[in-house]
Amino acid sequence: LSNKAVLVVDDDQLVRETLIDVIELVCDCEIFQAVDGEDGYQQAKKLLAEDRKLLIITDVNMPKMSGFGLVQLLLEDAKKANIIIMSGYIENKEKVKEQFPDITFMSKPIDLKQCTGIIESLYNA
Amino acid sequence: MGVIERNYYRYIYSIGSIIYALWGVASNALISPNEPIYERAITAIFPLSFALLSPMIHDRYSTKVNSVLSQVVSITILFHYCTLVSRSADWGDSALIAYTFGYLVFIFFTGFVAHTLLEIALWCLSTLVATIYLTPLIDFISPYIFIFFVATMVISTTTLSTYTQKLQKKIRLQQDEAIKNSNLVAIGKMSSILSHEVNNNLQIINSLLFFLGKKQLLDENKISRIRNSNRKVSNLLYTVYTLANDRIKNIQQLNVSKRINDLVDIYKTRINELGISISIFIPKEVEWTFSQDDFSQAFLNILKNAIDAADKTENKEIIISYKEQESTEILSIENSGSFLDKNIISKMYDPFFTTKEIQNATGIGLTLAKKMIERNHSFLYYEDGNIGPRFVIEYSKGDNFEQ
Repeated sequence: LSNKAVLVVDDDQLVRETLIDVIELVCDCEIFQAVDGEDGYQQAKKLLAEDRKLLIITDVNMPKMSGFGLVQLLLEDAKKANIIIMSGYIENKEKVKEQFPDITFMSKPIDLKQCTGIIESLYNA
Repeated sequence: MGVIERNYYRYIYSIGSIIYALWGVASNALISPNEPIYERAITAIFPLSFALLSPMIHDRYSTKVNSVLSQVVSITILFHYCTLVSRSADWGDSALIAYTFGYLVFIFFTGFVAHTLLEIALWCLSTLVATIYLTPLIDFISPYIFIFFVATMVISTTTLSTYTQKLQKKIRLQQDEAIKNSNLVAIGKMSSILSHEVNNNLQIINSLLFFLGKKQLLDENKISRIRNSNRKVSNLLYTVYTLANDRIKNIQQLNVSKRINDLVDIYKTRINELGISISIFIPKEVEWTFSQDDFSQAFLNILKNAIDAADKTENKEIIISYKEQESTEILSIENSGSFLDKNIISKMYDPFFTTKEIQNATGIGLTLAKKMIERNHSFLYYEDGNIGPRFVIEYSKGDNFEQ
């Protein structure tokens, strides 16, 4: 079982699956997917409990719990996950800057070179 | 704030006006024809003028004009009452009763509508004092009061008509602005939702392209063309969103010279590669109160165009200069390209209008630049410069954001 894990959280199935296809190309890691913030939080908790080196790529606007809610919970739990927030809503860029200044934000369509660059530097170094 | 609800002002003053008018007619009938002309005028025209003027005044009750006029009217009518008391022996009891009735009506309407109970009490007290002390002097005072009254009426009528015109213009502008804003809010919301939906799908396309490229199932040239198209779609949505969401951020004291040097540095490599000479003449101390984000974005868009235009010429020159005028400050960005013709000037701020090759341009640079500059209470315009086309940012001196 690989220690490296990536969790893709997005309510749009096609966005999730195509992004996973991309990640698989650049990283030898186990990839998980979640359909909303709540699902994402449960899976992230479990993966972190297993002491995995985790990268979470999450959308913002999702049913049940938003990406912001998910990030907030993870920060409160002091869970050590690497996080990228992505969103198609233009105004979310400002919100992330204000609420989570230390977390990387990418506007959809995300720059895949930058994204895969982050994954590679995190796991292939 | 009056005792009575402001909504009822109009009705109360209409009734008040009718009573004032009757008061004027009745009191004039009671005066002997042998009285001096100004006294007849005062007794008759006073109430009639109030009848006409008070609804006009009180429709605009919240202004300084109204407050001054109210005071003038109050003082004048006080003298009016004193005149009456001094003449009561000549005119008889019926005149005194008619006048006192009219006077009480005046106090009732003006007092209760425009003033508080305390002010009404003070008013009654001042009437008492004035009646006792001013009545013996009234023969001496009344010609001056007449002049004072006529002058006030002339001034107030002129002031009111000018003020009314200004007010109407202001209201029209505010209405236009409100309609524009409500449209913008709707477009803003729609563009936000639309950009989310479209960007999600562009995300899927980009991921697939990345995958196809890595697997070498599609050649890099085709991929980059599709990716460019995607970027353009995304940019268009961003433009609509920015135009509709008129929010201004990061307003600060901006050192213009330093900011421009920093921004030019971003394009330094490209400028050097193309062999363009760029000169900047801005005094170091120039500071503008401006949104840094807006200034940077707008300036970069103008600079990008200047670089493209200068590149097509032999001289390849860009001059950025500053000039201080009486009430404005001028920042010019001029390049050695050819002057723009009228056709282009009239359309160049329209969204998606471009003169560049379609592949390289989105046609939103100047649209956004103009929008961003204008929302900082400044102007962007074009003029023919000394060496070629010149774009001018005109900044008004003073704190433009003070409310």
